[in-house]
Amino acid sequence: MSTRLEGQLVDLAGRLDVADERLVDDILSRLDAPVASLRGLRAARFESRGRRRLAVVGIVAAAALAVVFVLPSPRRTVAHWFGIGSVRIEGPPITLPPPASAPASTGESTPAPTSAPISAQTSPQTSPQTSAPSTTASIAPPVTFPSSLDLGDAVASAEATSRTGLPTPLASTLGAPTGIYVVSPPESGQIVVVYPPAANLPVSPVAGVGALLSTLPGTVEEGLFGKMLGEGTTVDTLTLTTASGAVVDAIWVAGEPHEYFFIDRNDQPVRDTLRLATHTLVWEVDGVTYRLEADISRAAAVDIAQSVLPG
Amino acid sequence: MTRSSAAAADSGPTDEPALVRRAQAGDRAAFGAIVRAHQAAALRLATIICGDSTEAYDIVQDSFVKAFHALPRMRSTESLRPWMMRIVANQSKNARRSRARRDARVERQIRMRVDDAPTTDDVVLTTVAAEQLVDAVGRLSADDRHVIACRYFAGLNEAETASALGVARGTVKSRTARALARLRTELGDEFEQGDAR
Repeated sequence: MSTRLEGQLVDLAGRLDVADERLVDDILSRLDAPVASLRGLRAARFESRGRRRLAVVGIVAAAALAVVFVLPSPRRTVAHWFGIGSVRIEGPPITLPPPASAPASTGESTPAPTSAPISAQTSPQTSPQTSAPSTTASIAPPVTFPSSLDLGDAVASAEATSRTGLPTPLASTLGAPTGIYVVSPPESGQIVVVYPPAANLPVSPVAGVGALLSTLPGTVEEGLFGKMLGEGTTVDTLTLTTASGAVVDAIWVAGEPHEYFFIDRNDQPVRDTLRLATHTLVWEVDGVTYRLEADISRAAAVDIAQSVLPG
Repeated sequence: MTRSSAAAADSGPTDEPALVRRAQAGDRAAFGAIVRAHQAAALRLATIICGDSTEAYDIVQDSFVKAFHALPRMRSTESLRPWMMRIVANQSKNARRSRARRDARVERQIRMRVDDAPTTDDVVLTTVAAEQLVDAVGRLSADDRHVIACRYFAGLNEAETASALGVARGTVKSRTARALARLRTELGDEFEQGDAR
């Protein structure tokens, strides 16, 4: 049975100024923007925002939840939400910082890939409902990787999590990882899990490595991402679906990307290296960015990512 | 639209399953009809969760674009409305969380109409009372505010709210009771008995 307060809440709902005839048109116009053209999507979004702001002129009352005026932070002028998860679009030009002050070997020493064969893949036969493996998953025998990977010493998954505060990303479709590492940037560390080549995972441009699966504290801006990836790479957006039906946004980078920027939790862009310089899928869950680097098809990458997603 | 009918008016077209099938096949017109049916609830939900009417517009726009692309993967057993509201709720929470990291001290506004004629409903709020109530809702914990947003601002029932927020139905019930108790404590008995006409 409804109480008087519940009735008042419903009444308040009716008082909110939400009607806007432009919304449907704005949405439909964005549906027609070519997905491959992020610039087109961005333009559509900005255009609709502009029209919306004009429409606000008729507002008759305002109730401020918090009325404290400050100058916008620099980051606010850099990018707006692209629309999905943490993925944001490129804004006005900004001055990027020099390479992160993290250990020099983390960034610049990754070798240019040799010819990176793009192998046709059979998607792993795994449904999105597959639960992620326990963080106590067994580790394959130690393997020495090229020093260019700059992974340091392997750690246990629990230690990786305790050191970084990040979940250790484990993919049920990839079997036992070769090793788990904590690397920088950022200073607080990111976790990199190395998977060996397998029947459904060809060797990457780095011998002995099939895939790298990482978690890092921060978000990725598609605009910054696209600027740094180099020629011959393409960037596309897509969505993943968790077992419970929640939708997670992702970015698929095809080609030979080398470097990119992510936005750390202090809202600062940080230069980072894609160690395998091969196809990369990036997605975010609860403020943690996940990154899968492997020489596999987009569909196969999506299957792997979905096996990592929470239920 | 009268206030008391706000939640009911966007409960979805009667031919929604057919519209969903057409939209899943890429029919823009069908998806437009779906947007029209659910936009008001989506905007109210996003407004209360993110705390800003203008930002809510962007969130809802993004949510529907996202929903269009995800629609082919929607399970046939799932109801469109809570599925849609789950996307809106997640987008709103992400936006609020991200904003909190970036600019915690920025003006947020919730716009309200003041020109609605009173209805026969005896719980109509005065403008002052409405502002007090929206302020109090804004001060609820995130979990409590999300439940209140789904139940009273998007017109979802308990089961739909549970689905939209990804929590158990019992959790919705307990959070609702807790949130209402906090609102009563904060606003006082005089609010319910006096300020509301």
